[in-house]
Amino acid sequence: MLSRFTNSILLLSCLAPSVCWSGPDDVQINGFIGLGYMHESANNFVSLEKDEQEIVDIGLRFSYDFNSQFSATGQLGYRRFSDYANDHGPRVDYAQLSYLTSLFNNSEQIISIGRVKNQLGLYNLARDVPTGRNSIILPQSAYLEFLRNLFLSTDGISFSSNTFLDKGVLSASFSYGRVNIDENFSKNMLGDFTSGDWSNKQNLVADVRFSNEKFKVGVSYNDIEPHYNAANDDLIPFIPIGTYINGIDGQLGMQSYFAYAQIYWKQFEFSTEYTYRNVNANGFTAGQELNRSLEGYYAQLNYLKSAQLSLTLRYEQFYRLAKYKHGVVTPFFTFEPYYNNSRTLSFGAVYNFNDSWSIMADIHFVKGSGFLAPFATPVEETIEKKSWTLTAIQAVYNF
Amino acid sequence: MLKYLAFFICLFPSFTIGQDTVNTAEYLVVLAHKTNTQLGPENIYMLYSMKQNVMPNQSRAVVVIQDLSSEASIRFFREIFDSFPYQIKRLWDIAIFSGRAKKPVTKDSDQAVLAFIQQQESAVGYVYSKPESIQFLKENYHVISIYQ
Repeated sequence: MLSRFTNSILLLSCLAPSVCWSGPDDVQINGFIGLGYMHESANNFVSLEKDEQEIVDIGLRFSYDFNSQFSATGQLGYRRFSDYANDHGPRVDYAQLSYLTSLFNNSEQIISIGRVKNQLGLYNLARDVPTGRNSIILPQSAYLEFLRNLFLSTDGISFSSNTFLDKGVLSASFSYGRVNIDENFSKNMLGDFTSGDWSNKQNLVADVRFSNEKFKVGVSYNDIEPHYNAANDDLIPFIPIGTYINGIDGQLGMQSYFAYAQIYWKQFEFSTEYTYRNVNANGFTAGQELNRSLEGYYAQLNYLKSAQLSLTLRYEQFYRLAKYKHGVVTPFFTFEPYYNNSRTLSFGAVYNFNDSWSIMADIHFVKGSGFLAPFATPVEETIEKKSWTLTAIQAVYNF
Repeated sequence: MLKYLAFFICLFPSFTIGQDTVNTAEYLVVLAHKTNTQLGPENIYMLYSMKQNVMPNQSRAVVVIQDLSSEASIRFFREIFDSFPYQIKRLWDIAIFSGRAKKPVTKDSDQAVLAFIQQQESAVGYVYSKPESIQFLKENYHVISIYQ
C-alpha cells in the first residue's frame, strides 16, 4: 500500500509542472491534486474495512469570461475516500453560466444557472478542496461524511449578492434546484445491503453572512426531500443491532440549520459552528413515520506559527439522536449513548512549502460512533469500540 | 482525551510568535491602473477577499499578487488582513474552486507587477517602493494606499 502511495506522489511530482497552463486573461485553467492516507484504529468511518485508506482529491477548474459580465465556469472533481465517500469516476463538480451585475450602489450580484455549489456553513463550498480546509477530515459535527452527497451541488439556479457597507460586506446566497445523489448515498443512509435509487430531489439552499477583516458571522439553511425507490432485495439494518429487515420505498425530509462565526486576531483564527438537522423518514421499513433531530457543534482554534506553518486544535460534539443524548432504553433493546453520540478532540497541522505545495496532517481522538454510517441504525462494525482514533496525512499540489 | 489536550496546551506557549522578517525600510504601495481613480483604500479588502469582482470602471477585477512567501506578500497581508498570506489563500481557494472567483494573477517581482498593471486597466496589485520612487508611481499609476 505504501509503495502505491509513494508511486502516486512520484507521479504527481513529475506530472504537476506540466499541467500548469496560462493563456489569455479571459481564460483560466487551474486545479489541485491531493493524495493521502487515513488510518482508523477501530470502527468504520468510511468503510467496513478498518485499515489504512487512501485519500484522493482532484479538481480541474476552467473559467472563461465572455465579457465583463458573462462567464462560464466549471470543474471536474474526483474523490476517493474509501467506500462511503468515493466517486466512481470523474464527476462534474459544478458547471455554470453566470451573469455579474450591480443592481444598486455599492453592491454586486451574480446569477448563475447550471450545476452550482451549495454555500452552507464555513466549509461546505470546499469540502473536497484540500487547501480550502483547515484539516483533512472536516468537523463531522457539521459536515457529516455520510451526508456529503446531499450537500455537494444543486442543478438549478443560484443568486448571490455582496453589499459593501462601511463596516464590512453583507453577503446573501440562494440556490434552488435538484440535488445529485449517487449510489453511495443509499449505503450511507440505509446500509450496505441496499441498491435502490432516489428521485424528487428538490433542494433549497440559503446563506446570509456578514464579514470583514476581523470576523465573519452567518446562518445557513438547507431543505431537501428526496424519495427512495427501494430495490427488491434491499435489507436495512434494524434493532436489535445486527438484525436486518426488508426495505421498502421511503420519503426523506431533511432541514439543516447552520449558525457560524469566525474571528481573526493576529496569528489566531477562531471558528465555531452549530448545526441542527430535522429529519423525517416516512417508509423505508414497514412501520411508523420516524422523526429525529441531529445536533452538533465545534470550536476550533487555528494558530499561525509562521507564514508557512499553521496548527489547529478542535473540540466537537455530535448527537445523532438529539432527543436521546443519554441513550435509549426500551424493554427490547438498549442503545448506549456512545452509539449515537460522539466527542472528538482533533489536532492538525498544515505546512505550505510554497504557493503550490503543502502537506497536511491531523489526528482525531473520538469517543463514540455518532457520525458513522449508516444513518438508519448503527451496525456492529460501527460500535466496536467507544474510544478510537482517526489519523490522516495528505500532500497537496495546487496549480 | 484530556491528556492529549494538556499536552497540546503545554506545547503552545513554547512556540515563538512568528515574526517573519519584513522590509520596513521601503514603502508598501497598493496601486491600480491610472484610469481606476475611484478605487479607494476601502476597496483593497473587498478585492483581496474576493468579495468585489467589478472595478469602478465596470471592468472585471484582476487581482495581482506576488509569491505568497515573498516579503512583499507577507507585509501586504499583515497590513490588510493582519494575517499571513496562506491563511487568506485558504479563503481564496474556497471561492475559486467553488466557481465564485477567479484565481489571482501571480507575478514574481515588483517590476513585473508594475508592468502588468500598466497594461491591464482592471488590475490591482502591491509593490515595495523606495521613498524617492513614490512620486513616479503617483504619476503613472493610481496609488490607492501607502504603508510605511
